[in-house]
Amino acid sequence: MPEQNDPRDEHIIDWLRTNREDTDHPVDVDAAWSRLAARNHIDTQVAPLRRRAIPRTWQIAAALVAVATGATLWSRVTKTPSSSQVMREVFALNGQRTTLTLDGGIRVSLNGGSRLSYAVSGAGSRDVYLDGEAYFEVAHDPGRTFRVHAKRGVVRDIGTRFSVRAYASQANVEVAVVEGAVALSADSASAAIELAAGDLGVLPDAGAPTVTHPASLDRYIGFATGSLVLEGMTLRDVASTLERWYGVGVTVDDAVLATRPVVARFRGETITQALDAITLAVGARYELRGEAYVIRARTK
Amino acid sequence: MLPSDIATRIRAGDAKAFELVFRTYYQPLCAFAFRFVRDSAAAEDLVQDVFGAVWTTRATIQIKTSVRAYLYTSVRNRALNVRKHEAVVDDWDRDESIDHVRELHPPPIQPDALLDRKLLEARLEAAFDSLPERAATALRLRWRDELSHAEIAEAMGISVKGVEKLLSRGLRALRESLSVG
Repeated sequence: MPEQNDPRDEHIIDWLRTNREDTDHPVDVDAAWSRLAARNHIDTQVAPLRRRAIPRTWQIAAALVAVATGATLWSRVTKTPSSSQVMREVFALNGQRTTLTLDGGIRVSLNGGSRLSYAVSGAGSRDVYLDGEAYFEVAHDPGRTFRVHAKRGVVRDIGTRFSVRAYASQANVEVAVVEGAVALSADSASAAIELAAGDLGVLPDAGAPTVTHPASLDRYIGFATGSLVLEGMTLRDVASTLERWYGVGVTVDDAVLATRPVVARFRGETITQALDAITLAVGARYELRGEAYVIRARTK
Repeated sequence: MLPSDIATRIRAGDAKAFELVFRTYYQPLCAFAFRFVRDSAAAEDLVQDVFGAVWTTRATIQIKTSVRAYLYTSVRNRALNVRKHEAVVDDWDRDESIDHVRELHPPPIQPDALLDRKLLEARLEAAFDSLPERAATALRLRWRDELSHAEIAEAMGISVKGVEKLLSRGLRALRESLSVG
C-alpha cells in the first residue's frame, strides 16, 4: 500500500480511526429512524413468532406506536382465525428500550433485542410470552394469575417486581426478584421453586431450577432504570450486551481477550465512551471496521 | 457486516433491510454531512432527506460501487447543492488553491525530544484541522469510515488516482506535524 510506507503512519492512522470529532455532535439514531419512518410511512416487517403456545397463522395489521417515553415501540396485532383471541406483540429492537402497561396495571420494561407477546383481552389468567429480557411490576390480583413464559420456563407472580432474562443466545432462563415473590418452574414439570426478594433463580435447558442469593441484582434490573450494568461477565458477553444496548455490531477479535472479566456501569454514555472505558480497563483497543466495532489486543 | 443482497432487498421494498442500512450509516453520514454544512441539525436534515429519497426512489436506484458509496455520494451532492444555494464563500475549489500556498509555507517544526502522546495528538489534530478540506475528507473516509479508494472516488466525485493523491498528500502533512527537529 503506497499509503502506509512510513513508520509514523501507523500512529497517524490509529489517530484517524479513533479521533472523536463525530462524538462532538451525537445523533439519536432511534429518534432519527422514527422520524424517517413516520414521514415516509415505512412499516418494518417482522418475522412471525415461532412458539407452540400461539397458533401459527396470522393476519397481520402492523402498527407503529410512539410511546410517551420517546422510545419507539414496534407492536403488531395478530388475530388467530381459529379463535377470536387477539394477540399483540411488542418489540424492542437492539439499541432500544421500551416500557408498556398491560391490562391490570402490569408495568413492563422491555430491554433491547426482546419481544413480548400477549392476548389483548381475556378474562382469568394473564399469560405473556417473552423472548429476551423484561422487567415486570405486578400488583398481585388473587383472582388473576400472571405468568411469564420464557423458553421452557414459567414464572408465576405472587405480587412482585421481578426481571426475566431469556435471550435465544443463552442457555438459561434467569429470574431476579426485587420485591415480593415468584414461583419458577419448567414448562413440563410441575415442581416449582419459590423465589423471594433478592433471589436469583436459574432454569437450565435441562433439569430443575436452582436458586442463589447474589450480593447484587443490579445486572438483571439496571436496564429498567436506564443503567447498563456489566458484572460477572467476560468481554465476549459484554460485546453481545453492548450490541443489544446500543444497536450496533460489537465483536472481540482475540480469543484470550474475549475471556477477560469486565466490571462496568454505564448510564447515558455513547457507544464510543463505553468502548473507551472498557478497552482502557482491559488494555485493549477498538476500531470501527465496516459496520461493527471490533475490540482487539493492543499491539505495542 | 451488511448482507450482500441488501441493495436487492431494499429495491424489493424490504423495510427491515432499509432500517438496517439507516441504523448503520446514519451517524457516519451525519458526520460526513457536517463537514460541508457545519451545522449538526442541518447535517441531520440533509441525511434524512437522502434516506427519504432513497426509499421513495428505491425501485429505480442504480448502485455503481456499493450502497455505502451511493449514500456518501448522495449526501455530498445534496450538501454541495445546499452550499451553492446559500452561496457560502469558503468554497471547495478555493480550498484546493490554498493548498499550493500551504505547501510552499509548511508550519515551523518545533524541536522537542520529549513529546508525549497527548502532545502528538494535539499536533495531529492541529495539522488535520489545517488540511485542505478535500484531503481531510479523503483521510476521514478512508480510515475513520473505512471506505475503499473506489468508494471514496465515487463519493467525492473524483478519480481513484485523485483519491490516492489526496491521501498521500494528507498523510505527508500529518507526518510532518509529528516530525521532531
